[in-house]
Amino acid sequence: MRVFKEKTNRQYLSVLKEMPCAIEIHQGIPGTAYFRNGDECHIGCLGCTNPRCMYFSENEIECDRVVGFPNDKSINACPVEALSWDDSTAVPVIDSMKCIGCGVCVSRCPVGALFFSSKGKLAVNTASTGYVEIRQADSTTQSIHLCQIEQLVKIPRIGISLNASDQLFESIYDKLFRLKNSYHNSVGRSLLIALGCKCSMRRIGDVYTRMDAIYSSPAGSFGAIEIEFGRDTLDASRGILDDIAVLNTRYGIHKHDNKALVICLQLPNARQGYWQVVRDVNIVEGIKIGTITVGALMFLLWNGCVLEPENDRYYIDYDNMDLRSILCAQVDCDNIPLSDKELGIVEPMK
Amino acid sequence: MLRFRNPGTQYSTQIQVIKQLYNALHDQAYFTLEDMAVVIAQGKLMTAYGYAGEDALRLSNTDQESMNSALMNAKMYAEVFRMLGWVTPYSEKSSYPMVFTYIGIHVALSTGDCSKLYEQCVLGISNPTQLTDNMRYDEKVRFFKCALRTFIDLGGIMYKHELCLGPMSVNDEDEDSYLRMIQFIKSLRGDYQRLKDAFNDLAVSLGMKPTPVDNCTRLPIALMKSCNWIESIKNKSLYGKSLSCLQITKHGIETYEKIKDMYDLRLDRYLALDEQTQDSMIRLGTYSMLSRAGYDMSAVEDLIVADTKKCESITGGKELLFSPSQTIRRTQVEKALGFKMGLGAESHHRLDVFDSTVAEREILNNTQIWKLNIPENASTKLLTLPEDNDFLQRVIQMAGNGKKSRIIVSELFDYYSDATQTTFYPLIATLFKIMGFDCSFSRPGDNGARWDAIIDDPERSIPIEIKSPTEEQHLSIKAIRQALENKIILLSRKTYITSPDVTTLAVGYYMPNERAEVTRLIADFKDTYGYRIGVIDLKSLLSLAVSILVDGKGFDKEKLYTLEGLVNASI
Repeated sequence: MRVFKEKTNRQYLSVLKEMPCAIEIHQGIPGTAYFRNGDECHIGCLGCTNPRCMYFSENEIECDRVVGFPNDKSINACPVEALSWDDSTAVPVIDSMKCIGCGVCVSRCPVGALFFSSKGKLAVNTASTGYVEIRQADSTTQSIHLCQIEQLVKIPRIGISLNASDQLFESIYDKLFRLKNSYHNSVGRSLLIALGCKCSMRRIGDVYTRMDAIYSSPAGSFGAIEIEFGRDTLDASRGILDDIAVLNTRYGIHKHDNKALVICLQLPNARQGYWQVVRDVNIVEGIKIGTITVGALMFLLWNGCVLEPENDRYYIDYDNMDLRSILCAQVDCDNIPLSDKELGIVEPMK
Repeated sequence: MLRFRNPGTQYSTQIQVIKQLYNALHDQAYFTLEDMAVVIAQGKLMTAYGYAGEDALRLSNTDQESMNSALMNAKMYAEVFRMLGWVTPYSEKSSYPMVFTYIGIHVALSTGDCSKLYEQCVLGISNPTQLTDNMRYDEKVRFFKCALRTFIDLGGIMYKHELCLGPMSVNDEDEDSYLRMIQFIKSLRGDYQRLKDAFNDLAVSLGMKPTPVDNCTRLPIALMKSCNWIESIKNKSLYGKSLSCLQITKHGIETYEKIKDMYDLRLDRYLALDEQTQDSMIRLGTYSMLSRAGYDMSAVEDLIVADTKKCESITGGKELLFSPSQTIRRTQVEKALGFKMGLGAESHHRLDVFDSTVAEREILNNTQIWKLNIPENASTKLLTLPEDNDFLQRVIQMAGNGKKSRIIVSELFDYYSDATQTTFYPLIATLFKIMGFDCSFSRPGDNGARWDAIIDDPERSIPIEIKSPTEEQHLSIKAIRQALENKIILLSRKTYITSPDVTTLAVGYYMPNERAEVTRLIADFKDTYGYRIGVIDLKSLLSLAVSILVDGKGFDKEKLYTLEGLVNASI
């Protein structure tokens, strides 16, 4: 029986003549590659055989700490399916109507070919440079190509992929508010993986697996995740207590080893019960539930950070609802270019 | 009307499951529902009672087939995969066991985004087929092509019930029937009652209740959304009231534009062809699906050219819209494509090798029984509110009329079946007060007080989470979570005195439906946080209170402070 192949098998592959020593990312221009000889150039899309902008590896969507977690096996990196692959040109195609501007794909492109334009729109650089050679896709080329991609992702990256502003977040949140429920968990998972974590999310329709996701951070912290795009954040704190209990009894993860995280679209208003409950849980149980917004995760990603909840970094409660100072400390900046209370991203709106 | 069943509708999960199944079962000659159940569970693609993998199989392993959730889950996927043409019956005599189809293998082995092939499979769904005998409907329709056309002809927006009245109930090859259907739906628009009447008439004519007819729209809507052909919108203009409607997308319109002029081969016309032409149509149909889905078909280009020429007099040179694996039996499909499926090892997965833990699950369901055998009088000094007095008078009157306490409980239980929070919270407080607990309730909407009622005790106060029957008839997991939260809040804020070992209560109209799940959660909370959560239904509370009031018999009240799990008290 003949099984046909999808037209993804390449006739040709891009290979770098020389490996850059650093890549700089900035809004408005494609990533700049720096070479040891002092040269610099914008390397266009390499048309990776297994494009990182499109797909996560299986390793990234599995948390070793919980063996047998019934996770969603989908490996799409774009949380909203805004990227597709053009087989004829071997470059990603952006659906700008769907794209929420999270920057996950930008952070994963090994050469910075995916970048944000000066207006904050996702774009792909397909221009050719003298540093890239197009070769017949034989097994040797394939092997060189894969090896180079592997090396490229380890090369130091500097710069800020997208500059935060009120206007930018307003357009991003406008899309997030209208996003279908089925994408909410994917947004959380993709951002966490892009921020260096491993993250497994519950399969859609699986009503028995309580938590929305689980993660393990680069330094090995582990936790349950509740993702809440709506207003009822109390559901999230209750859900977290449930998740911690299930992970304790079924997977042997002690409640104090669980750095649980609530990812919400906007921080709950100051008068909402959530903040007091989070504090109550800390007082009575010694469990510090972290709270972070989707916008804050994006900000960390654009600034090249990882998500690392060591020392309960993202713990905020009724006594201190301020994410701004936490993010500033992590990004090492004086302030975040967001107005006070803007969209409830770094402090509650009311 | 076409009856679409209501199985798992999530596109990404369907793809994950078929890949897992093929990976595990492709060496077998055929596979059974048991094979599927085992593979799906072992691939962590199903969970039961909070467990995945083999634990899930053990927990759902019961002799009663319809109660075996692993088997039912497998059946659900088998049905949807058969409809999509990914699996097909192994023999012509029965629906099971099954084999993978040629298209199913391509979906399973897809390394990229197989959404284009998925779309071809959805377009391939037509009725009738050789694979769907004994159906209760006889419409001749390629449903999704017809649905897209209907959307376009009705201005791009439809309400879900119009799908039932329209493309699910029409012979789309009969142009007059189709146009009459469009006119009919147009004539309903503008008046919601008119639509409702027409929908109810349809249900009556089908011998079905309206809800199952409505349920038949779930799968087609999910499939059309998965293909990105339609999206949900709120619309007021169709029927003068805001309804959650469906709107065709640009991609939906483009898809219809691409297929509308194709040669659409249906079963009856296929059967009228000679065998050689049938074989050509099978090859052309299959290869054209793959080609449209972005597969590299250059290796069979000559064959496609030859078959195209052979069929030209029938197709008029048009592209073919025909999905053989969804329309005809596998023997002829395989002969035409030149291979044979159904070869290989015997089916070898058995559910009975997984020792059932259903009994263990059922033990968890066990409920404490409280006996009403201790002489006790109602604590009337606590009953000071008008609500308390109303309840007392009602019981006294019923008892005075000679009604036995069991009847009184039953009548009161029915009486409160549609109670809102405003009635229900005070009622629960009254019942606890009759038992001698100093209970006060929070006014609905008072967000400052996290619990709905509280038993105020000098040392052992108990917060109570209440769900009125209008909120949820059966207590849910949500109520148990809230009971835990109440306990933590009380210990933290110390608004009433209590200690960690005193219970926290959840009270509802009925006991939880998912008793095993709730009991397991209560046990999980106890193991992790050390708190006891007790669950009581209204009938038990009424029994306790009425027994005290009418028969002068109560229960051992100490039990309430340490209650963990579900309790039952009946007269």
